[in-house]
Amino acid sequence: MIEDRILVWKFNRGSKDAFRRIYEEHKNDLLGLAVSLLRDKSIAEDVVHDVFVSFAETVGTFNLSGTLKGYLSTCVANRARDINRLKTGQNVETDFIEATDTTSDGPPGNLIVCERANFLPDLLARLPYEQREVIVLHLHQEMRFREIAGALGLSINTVQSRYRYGIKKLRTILDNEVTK
Amino acid sequence: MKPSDDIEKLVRQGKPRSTTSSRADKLTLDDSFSAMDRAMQTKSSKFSPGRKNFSTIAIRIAAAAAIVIAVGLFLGRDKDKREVPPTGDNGDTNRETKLISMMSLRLSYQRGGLDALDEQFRDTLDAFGPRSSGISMRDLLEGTNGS
Repeated sequence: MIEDRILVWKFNRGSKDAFRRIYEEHKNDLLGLAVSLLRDKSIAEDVVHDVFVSFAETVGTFNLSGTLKGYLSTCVANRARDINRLKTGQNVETDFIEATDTTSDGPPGNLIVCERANFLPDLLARLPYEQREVIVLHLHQEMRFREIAGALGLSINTVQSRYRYGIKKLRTILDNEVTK
Repeated sequence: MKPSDDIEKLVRQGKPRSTTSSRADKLTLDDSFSAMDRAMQTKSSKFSPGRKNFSTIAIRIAAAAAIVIAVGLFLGRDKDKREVPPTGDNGDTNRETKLISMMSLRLSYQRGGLDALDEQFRDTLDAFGPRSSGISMRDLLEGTNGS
């Protein structure tokens, strides 16, 4: 948090080194978020690119109210939502997952991980975008409901209900998959 | 336990670990640095009048502070003077000039505070300019008696 503030302070004074450090620190995390939301790595890379260029344009006037990760995640989520609106109805294939769970070990674990790597994005993709967005921001980006509500311009009740419905739907889908 | 019981944990663990390509990194950083340069150029030209305003404000504040100190000194001196019986003959023209000027300043201050003082100084400067060596005593005191 303090490091964020120092980096932002330097960035606001035109330090390109500070900007580079911010980019290096958050790029993969933000790409993962964009990939989770859009399911297309090349579009996700474009989103991350656009977010950082827009962020660079705020040099000298950028005011950080929360965390840098939260701010950039919100930017990615907003940009991804715009893109999703444009291509609603299109079904984009995934070509991106490089690894997922790093806690497993040994061949059986890896097998499960590989299955999960393909399974989970498909699972999330079966949710309405609004529910997926809230779930990904909360569980992947570790943003609080209040933070998400502020970022998306929604009430906290709406965010919580979207999350609840999303989790319920995932549970139903997963139960059906297990009983098959 | 069914897998769905721990759905949150499952989703959390399924976070994609994607990495950006070096080509994307270079493109993003290059474009961002260009955007930073453009933004800083625009903002620096936009901010320059602000600096001018700031310096004007600082000068005004400094002038006001100097006036307050001068008035304070004058009031203190005036008080001391009342306690000392007049000698009747001082013969110091400069001192009289200062005294009358101070009185006019004091009256201005009583009339309209620092703004009135500021206005009087400005009017005096407008009328006579910064150099007053060639101006007669009458001209100097005309219109500066606080009225």
